[in-house]
Amino acid sequence: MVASPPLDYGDVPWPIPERYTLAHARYWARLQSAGSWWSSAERIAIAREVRAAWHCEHCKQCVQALSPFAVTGEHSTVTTLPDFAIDAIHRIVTDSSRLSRRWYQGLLDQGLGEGHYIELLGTVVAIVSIDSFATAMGVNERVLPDAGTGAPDHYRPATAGPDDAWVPMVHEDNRDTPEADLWVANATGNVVRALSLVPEEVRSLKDLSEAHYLAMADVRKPGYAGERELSRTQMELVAGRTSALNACFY
Amino acid sequence: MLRVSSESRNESVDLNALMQGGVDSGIAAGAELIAFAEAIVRRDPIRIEHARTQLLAVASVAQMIEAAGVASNFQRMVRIANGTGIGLGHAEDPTADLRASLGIDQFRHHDLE
Repeated sequence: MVASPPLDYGDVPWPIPERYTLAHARYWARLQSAGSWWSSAERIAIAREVRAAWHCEHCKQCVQALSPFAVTGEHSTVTTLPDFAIDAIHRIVTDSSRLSRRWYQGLLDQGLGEGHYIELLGTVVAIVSIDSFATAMGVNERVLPDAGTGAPDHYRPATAGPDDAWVPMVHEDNRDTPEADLWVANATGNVVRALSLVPEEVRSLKDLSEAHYLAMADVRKPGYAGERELSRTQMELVAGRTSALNACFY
Repeated sequence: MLRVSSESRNESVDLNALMQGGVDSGIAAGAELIAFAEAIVRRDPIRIEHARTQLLAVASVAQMIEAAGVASNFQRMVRIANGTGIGLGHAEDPTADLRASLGIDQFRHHDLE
């Protein structure tokens, strides 16, 4: 692991609970390691590209267009990632509600592997979330860590396969598998399983969700808010309105 | 989850507030929470600051921070759902009427392609 400035929220004028800082720092540390399909440098490049997407003129034209895939032009990029990866990052960030199975298949046809896609998606959404928190607190996005070394392990769960999604997922009955820790067998939602082709992405999802919202094991408890300051109905109002504005059906 | 949570707490909630932000949800500080969530999604610093100030007039600092945490969490979850084409699975049937009445099914673009 290489040395980078520690992640903190000392510039926020309110006391940020430690759970946010620790979870975000753990994610930064994870970025400093190779994933299953991308190197640390590539994953940090993905994170930089997430931030560039918000300012991309081509993305703005796509968002305004009736058919986003009919718009010609190039994304404003800040990395040397492959074009199809840049397109995936930018569209997930700026126009995710209009992604389609056909678009996803097109990425695969261009050479993006299924595991590469899931790890890219997991990285994109984590950065979007962590950056959104900083923006909400009125401070700049946290400085990304320096890249670490190491090579991807290309791990693919043996039980992953076609499922209720475009992407392969680990079967909901994950008992007696290396992925048994990801969820309680037969008792989780597809949105948790969605990234399970790359199990570490589900582990990061669980870690960040517990800091921002609730532990995954508590999400399905009606009315449960644990030690949170907001009631569960208040939390779900924020969650639901955020989802609706993002045109998410789930 | 809002419907289930409100029912478990015997709270009366207007779920239309999810799709139409201006509707009174019936939830304490609901209007301010919605405005803050909307500002976070829009990524407008001026709007965020205004909404945050409004929220802090009716809620604690800790609640404001938690609202930011939840909104930013769902900035992630929606992109996972949209980016993987997942179906609703076991939640499909129990939520059918609610999704139809609120207009949530209109968001299922990726089923068409």
